[in-house]
Amino acid sequence: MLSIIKSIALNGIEGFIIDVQVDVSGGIPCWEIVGLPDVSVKEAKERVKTAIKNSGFEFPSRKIVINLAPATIRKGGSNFDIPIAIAVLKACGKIMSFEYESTLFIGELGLDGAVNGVIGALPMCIEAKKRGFKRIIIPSQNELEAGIVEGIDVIAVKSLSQLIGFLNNQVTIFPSKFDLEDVLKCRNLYNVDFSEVKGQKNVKRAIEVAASGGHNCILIGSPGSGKTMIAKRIPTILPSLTFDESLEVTKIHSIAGNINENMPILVNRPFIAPHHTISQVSLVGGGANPKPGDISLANYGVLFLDELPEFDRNKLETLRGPLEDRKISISRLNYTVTYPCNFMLVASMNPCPCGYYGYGDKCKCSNNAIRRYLSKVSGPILDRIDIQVEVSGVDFECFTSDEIEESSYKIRKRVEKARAIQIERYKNEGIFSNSELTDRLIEKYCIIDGKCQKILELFVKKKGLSGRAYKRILKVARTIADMDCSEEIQEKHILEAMQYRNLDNKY
Amino acid sequence: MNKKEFGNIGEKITCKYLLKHNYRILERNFIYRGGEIDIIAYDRSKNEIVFFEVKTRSNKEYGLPADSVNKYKLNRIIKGAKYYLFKNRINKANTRFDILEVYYSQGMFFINQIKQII
Repeated sequence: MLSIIKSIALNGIEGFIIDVQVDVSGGIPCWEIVGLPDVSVKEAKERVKTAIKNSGFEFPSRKIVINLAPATIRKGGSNFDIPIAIAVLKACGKIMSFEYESTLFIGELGLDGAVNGVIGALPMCIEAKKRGFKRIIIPSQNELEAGIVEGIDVIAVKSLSQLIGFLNNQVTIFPSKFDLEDVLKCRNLYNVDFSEVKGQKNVKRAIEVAASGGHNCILIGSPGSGKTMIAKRIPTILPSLTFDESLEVTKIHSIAGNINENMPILVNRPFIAPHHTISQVSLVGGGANPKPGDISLANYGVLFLDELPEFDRNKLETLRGPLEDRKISISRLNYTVTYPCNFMLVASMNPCPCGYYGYGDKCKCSNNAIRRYLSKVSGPILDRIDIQVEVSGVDFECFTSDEIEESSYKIRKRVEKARAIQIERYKNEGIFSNSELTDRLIEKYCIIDGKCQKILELFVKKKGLSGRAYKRILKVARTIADMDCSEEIQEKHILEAMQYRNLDNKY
Repeated sequence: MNKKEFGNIGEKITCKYLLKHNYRILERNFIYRGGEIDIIAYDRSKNEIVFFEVKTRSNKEYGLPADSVNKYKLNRIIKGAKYYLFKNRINKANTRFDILEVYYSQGMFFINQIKQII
């Protein structure tokens, strides 16, 4: 007897439908899986066999051949246990007719017949809905995460026997319902706030510009001047995630296996701060089984590289492409996957090895040492950072003063206003912020008058800036104009944007 | 009584046991190149041809009877089963492989059937 059950596998963040075909016939008993399974899929044999026995069913003494079609794609993961078990039982006539054509099955089996959670349940559900399936069977551990998807019946099961009861119409399981309000309550709840940062008005302004346009920025300053403190508070002033953005972010974190029952959907922008010893693969993604790296986990959020010069040069250089393209294509012998990585890069560094260059005569570093230190960060990377800002230490009077600083909430409201202008302007271009402007769009939207042109020309020629740097100044000026609610870019906007490129200036 | 005779007694006892349990004995001591299948029987209740390996032991000092059926022994039995099906032109039958353990202790025989070893 032949039976076919539909399941789903992931390639990157895209899903594709897998037909689990099972043939049960006479002859010498054996149990084979074909269709390019990897080890974790082959191990399904033992799990399925034992789980069926321990769920009170007899495992047939037959020749069983399982094919995972299409057989050209490599399949990994443990989510085929349930479809294989159901297909075997169906082929033996143990379960009745059901709408198998319009139902997807995913789940891992334990030896006792319990259904265990899988990685990537959310992207699978989204794909299932996109392909018009009526229902999807998922492990109950993934219920909260997968229940977000609307327009498809998400059936969460705890055990194999419960699922068989459901398929035989003996047990009723209601589709999971998801309470969106409950989750959105946690939105914009952070345990840090910008009001804790005393003084630093110029840095705060620069960060606000960066947040308003989604620009990359670097903070340079002496130890203890508050670089990390400010960087940690950047997510609190970024505009709230929309529901669709939340889904996109959660999708990637779901594939990375970061989703648990306490946090079924990410409602806040991710803030990823890898240590400088991070490996290249965990930074950009890859591995034997493709996994998204930190730059993809920071999608729609902030990637914070503390102590930028401490990172190995070759690791930083891998960021060049992703910073421009906002997606990363990982090609290996066995697979090619593309992950989005639309992040805002925030970096921090000291001006010299001892950290006090330019702050009194504390610095004892030789010129050579300073040059060596700064050369660890390559020009191409700095060129891609729109906003470069110096953080100087705060006076003692300043952090003991009782003056109340602006809260993150207030700053965020302004940022959201500036973003709204951008979204409205670019609604037909398929982008959301000024930082995403392409060359063609810069010519269209960043028009400056003759006088501004002159100032900019002088600046670029004097500093010997690249064409890209010139365009990036225009983008930042556009953002500053948006914050000002000004239609056209004025002289003051250009001038402010220019001073955010002071790294080329000073070092 | 030597080892062979002791084994034969075990097989005789198991035949009686199988007849009682709704089996039809098809063949005993089916010999093929490379080995021998002790009992081949037809399980009426399940509609399966069953190949039995009978192991008789008088004490448990050297482990349980079933422990001595290892991978090589199993492969030999499978080979014999294929030959039996081929020889008798049986194409579509369902098959099963069982072990029958027979212990002898204090003048009594105990039978333990282990079903579906592959």
